[in-house]
Amino acid sequence: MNVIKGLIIKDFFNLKSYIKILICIDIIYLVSSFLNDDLVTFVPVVFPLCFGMIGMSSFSYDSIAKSDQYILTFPTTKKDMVKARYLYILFLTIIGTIFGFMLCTIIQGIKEQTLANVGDILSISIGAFCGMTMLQIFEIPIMYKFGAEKGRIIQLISIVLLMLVISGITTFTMKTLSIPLESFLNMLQKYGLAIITIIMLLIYMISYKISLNIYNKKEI
Amino acid sequence: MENILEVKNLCKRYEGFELKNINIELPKGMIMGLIGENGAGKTTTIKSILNTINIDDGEVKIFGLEMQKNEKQIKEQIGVVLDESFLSEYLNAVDVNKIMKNIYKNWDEKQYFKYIDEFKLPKNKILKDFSSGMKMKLKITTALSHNPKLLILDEPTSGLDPIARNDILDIFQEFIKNGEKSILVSSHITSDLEHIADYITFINNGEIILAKTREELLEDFGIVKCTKEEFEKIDKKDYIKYKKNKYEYSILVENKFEFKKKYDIEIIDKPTIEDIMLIYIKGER
Repeated sequence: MNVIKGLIIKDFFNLKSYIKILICIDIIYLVSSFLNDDLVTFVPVVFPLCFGMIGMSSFSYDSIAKSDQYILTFPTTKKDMVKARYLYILFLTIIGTIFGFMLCTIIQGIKEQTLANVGDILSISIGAFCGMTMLQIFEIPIMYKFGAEKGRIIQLISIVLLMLVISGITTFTMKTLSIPLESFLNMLQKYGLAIITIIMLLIYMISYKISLNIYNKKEI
Repeated sequence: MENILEVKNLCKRYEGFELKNINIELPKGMIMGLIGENGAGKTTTIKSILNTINIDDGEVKIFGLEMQKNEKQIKEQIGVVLDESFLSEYLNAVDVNKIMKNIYKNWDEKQYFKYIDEFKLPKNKILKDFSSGMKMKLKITTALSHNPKLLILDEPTSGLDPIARNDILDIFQEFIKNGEKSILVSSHITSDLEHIADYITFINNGEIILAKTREELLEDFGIVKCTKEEFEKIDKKDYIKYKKNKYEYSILVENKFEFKKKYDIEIIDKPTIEDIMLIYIKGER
């Protein structure tokens, strides 16, 4: 476990070069949201998105320094490396989500706005977190398969494809099963969090296994 | 003598390149130099030993344990320097220490910073701003700071000035002094190996074509300089390879004393490792 901790620390240290850019983006966004009321509710979406994307950049750092070759000489395994990468990206997305939620709540408090209550902000935050994680679940195996450089282009294509597939499945299911939209939304409101958590965990595990399988076969 | 590293019939096949039946035995307390031109298979051999690539055939034993089955346990006791690979360039020496103390059970922080001070490396400057010599010193420092029993070094003196190279070679010799530790080192700078290596293993086209002790190479081998007429009288069995120069022939012989007894040729030079390597690669048979 210590080795995994070491690998996660390595990725967090790499973030130092990003921190100034990240703070700038966030300050600009926060100032804008103070000036424009509509932007406030996007804070819980923008933060997990930013942090999640930065988490994915850890592939580029390792690729430029060819770190994987070196790390494999440590008392570690490819399994530890993949596990550490998943945990790091997940931690960072969680941190982004918490930041987004807190800042949005504080801004709303300061501006005495009632655009959204805490419950709504929490829902938006969870939704944004799930959306970002969903993307990462597909992006990470792509990065392992094609590497950081090629992976980015394939990643963009696959995101568009993924969106099309999801919307296609949703429309098809609603139409063929004739589920009324209202009852579907009610069902989501009632059991949504539990269903989403279970599905996310399941897909996360599948994604991890796929990445591990790809990485195990890869010649570093 | 007990071997710290044993490689038996190691094979690794790529498209267009093959590592063929590599056999290496490195005893305790010794330094083995791995030489060969670019693309000869030195780095592939090192990667195969470290199990960072999947080998097709053969066996690697380190400290008497099979690498495939005891990887983590073995790697706790190996220090590695890879020529082109290290941690991200956005880290500094302090960050590297914080990472490494989570990686190795025996990480010695005091030792690490002792080397950092000895090599006059900046602690808070990011690696991106290091010179190539400084980077190499940090890699070597990192490899030495968890009390390893075996060092595996891929081109550790490249990018270093002569003084830094000399300092590092001294550290390597100090490392093996107690007779319990060993070093496997690949290098293009063959003069460095002449100073420190006890054994020289020469890889060419994925095959070991020569494995001798340094003394055998430098004392027994010879380069015979002769005319065309003299060369024509020499039996093919008595030399390894020859190179035709503008005015003379350079002939590499395995035992210059035996050769001298048989032929009446006066000029037999003491070769350097580089001379031997050159005639082996460029010479004819």
